[in-house]
Amino acid sequence: MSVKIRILTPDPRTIETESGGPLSAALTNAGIPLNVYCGGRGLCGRCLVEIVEGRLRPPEMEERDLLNARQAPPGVRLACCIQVESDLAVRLVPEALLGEVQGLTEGILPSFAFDPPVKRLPFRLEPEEAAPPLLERCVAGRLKLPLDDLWERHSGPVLREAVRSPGDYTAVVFDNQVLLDVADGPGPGPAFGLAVDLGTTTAVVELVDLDRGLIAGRAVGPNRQARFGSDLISRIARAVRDRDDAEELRRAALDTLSALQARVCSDARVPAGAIYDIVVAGNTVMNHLLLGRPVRSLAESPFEADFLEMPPVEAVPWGFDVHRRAKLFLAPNIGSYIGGDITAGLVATGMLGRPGNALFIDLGTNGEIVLKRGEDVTAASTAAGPAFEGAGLSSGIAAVPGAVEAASWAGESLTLSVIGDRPATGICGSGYIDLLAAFLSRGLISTRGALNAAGGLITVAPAVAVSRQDVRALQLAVAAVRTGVALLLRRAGLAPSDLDVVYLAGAFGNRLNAANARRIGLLPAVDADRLRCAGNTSLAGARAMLLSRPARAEAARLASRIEHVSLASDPAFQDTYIRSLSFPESDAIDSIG
Amino acid sequence: MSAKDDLLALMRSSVIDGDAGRAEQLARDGLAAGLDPLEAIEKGYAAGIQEVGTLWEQGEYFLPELVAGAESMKRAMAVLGPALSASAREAGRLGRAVIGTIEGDIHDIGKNLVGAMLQAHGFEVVDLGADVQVDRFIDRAEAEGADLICASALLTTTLFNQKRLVERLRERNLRSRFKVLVGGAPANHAWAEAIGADGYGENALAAVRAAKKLLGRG
Repeated sequence: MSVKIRILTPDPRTIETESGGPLSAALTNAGIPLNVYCGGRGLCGRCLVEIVEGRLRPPEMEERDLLNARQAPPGVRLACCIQVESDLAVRLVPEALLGEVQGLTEGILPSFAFDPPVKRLPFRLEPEEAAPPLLERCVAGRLKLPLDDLWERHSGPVLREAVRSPGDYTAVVFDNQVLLDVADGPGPGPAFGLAVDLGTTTAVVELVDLDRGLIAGRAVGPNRQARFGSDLISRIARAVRDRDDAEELRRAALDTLSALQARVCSDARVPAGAIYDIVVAGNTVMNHLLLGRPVRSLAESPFEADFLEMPPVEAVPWGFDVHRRAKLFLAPNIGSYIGGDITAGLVATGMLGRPGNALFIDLGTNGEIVLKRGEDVTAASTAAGPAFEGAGLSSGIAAVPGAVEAASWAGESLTLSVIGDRPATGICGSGYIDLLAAFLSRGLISTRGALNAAGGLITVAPAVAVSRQDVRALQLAVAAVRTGVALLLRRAGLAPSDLDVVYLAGAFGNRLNAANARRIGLLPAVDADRLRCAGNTSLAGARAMLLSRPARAEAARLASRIEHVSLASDPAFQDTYIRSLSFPESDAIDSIG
Repeated sequence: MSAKDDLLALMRSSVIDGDAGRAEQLARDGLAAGLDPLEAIEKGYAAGIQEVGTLWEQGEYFLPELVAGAESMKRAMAVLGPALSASAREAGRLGRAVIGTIEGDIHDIGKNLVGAMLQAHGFEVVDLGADVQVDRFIDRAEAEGADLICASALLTTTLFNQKRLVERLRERNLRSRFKVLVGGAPANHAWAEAIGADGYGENALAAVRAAKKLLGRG
């Protein structure tokens, strides 16, 4: 039977639904951003709605407790506890509507449900319930946790340790499965999580408010493993050669993250003990080194990983300074050289969940490429090197203040945009992309990369220049990516024009010009409206996995869907690579594919 | 300038321009016109590949031009080689090299370039491919009667196998029989010296120079 629900405020409208289901589902299905934090399980007391007309059963005891805990006025009910059986008129309660869940909307993230694995849930204990034999059964029942051996080993002891008397408590629950913590009353404040992008060169730690889905702070710094070598292979070599070095590499990764965590927590005034969950998105080698797993097999043919995925583990035994029962989750690796950072990127773009053909390029110290053709997904890694991170170039720097991040011609002179609006001290990746495109357009460099300038140097600002060798290094980096794209497209039988969307991810800062990236061959020849600069998708994906159980489930699913392709063993590799070294003749033609 | 000089100049420029089709056609034209194949090689094509090398070292040329030049040279040699007299062939023979990427490593663009440039400069090259077991290098070098073993490694983790190659040659009492040339991104002169290799090439042209020097042809 169909029933009508009239919504009176804030935006009057009437929705129709089948009778028998919960009101919360009817409202969210109609696109109303009702906060069903606990998943509509009657546990969190957040989906408040005021009933103005309609016949309803009175609330059960659990709903009454939650309404009391929220000090809800008469007439206000929990939408997930109401079965719709006849027509209703309701007013939406502003505090029960999700505002922008920043953590799930920043960047290009698709719409994941706000459903963090770590949740804070209130519960009340009556006098006879606060001690055995009722205590454990009552709390497990209220929080809908299974009384299984997970309860026996973890949840039961946490509860018995925390509860001394009847009254109001707040539980911290992980993945609807296990109790992490129990505090008196409403608890000390929100639960927090860390979203971590552990890159070969640079690491980012973001502090995320798991109660509201807000970003509380972010810190960026160099990976302290750099003193063992700038590339993955030299770090693997050190770890393989010497057991002490392997341990040093593990410590260096941990120290990198701990220092960034300390900085971001101190800025946000959040104690380490309020952090209950960590999601790390790193490449396969970083993930192995962080956990002290053996890496030798990653560096020798046939290049196999010691592990690809693992369930969430306890964070403290791995060296993190967080709540003593906090969880640590590594975004699953796809293969030996396609890591959790790419899984996170695919979660962040959501591209595997949409129809059509899509290409994802993550340009870090390695360049990883993922191609989706209908339902088939292939991935490959390329040795792009760190040129677009500014490494190894005469004026190259990271995207930091003083870096030229954009450039274009204004008449006969170059207009530069410098981060921090100060004199230029170097050039970052997005700046090099613009400069190469600008020089190509005026014939200052030929499509073969020869520099037509006196002294083999083009000066763009005092003491900031592009040299002949810089152009060569950039050609090598572009060619690695371009070869990977061309070979994956060819294997799939696709032309660039068959791509519905192309994502370019990486630490380019905010000024990446996609058309210029296409001009120099870094992106394939597709219409500009199909190009997306996706930013740091590794971080965005890690954050999504902190804030949404469906995002985490998606990560586990998609890693197993992807076929890893070894480019170097493709017979066309060398020829394609050599031809990719020349810049495209124009941005409309791809002579390589 | 005589017609012969014109033809030699065209041969030279076909290699410099990396036009393999033209290089091959000019070789046929030269033979038809009665040009001495040895002169065509020395004053035409080989002079061209020298010029390609110079342009590369000046930064004017990059890998694609190097590959195209070597390919042009190879196509011309395929026409001219059979026409050489036995004595000219013997006089022009610099040596025979077996080349490969070392055990555990599958990267072979650099190795292929070295092979092509060695060939372009007159070496006979036997390419064993990538991920070549240490003993296979030695077995094939013996079977081919090679003068030179060239081993490439792109990874710091597989570099070590170059050391094993030299050790294994010693164990098999064959160390003095072959010259060993190593290369690849993580290798350098000091490494080559430390493991007891005979030479090191930083790039394809340096490898050719080192190979010539080792065989007393520099």
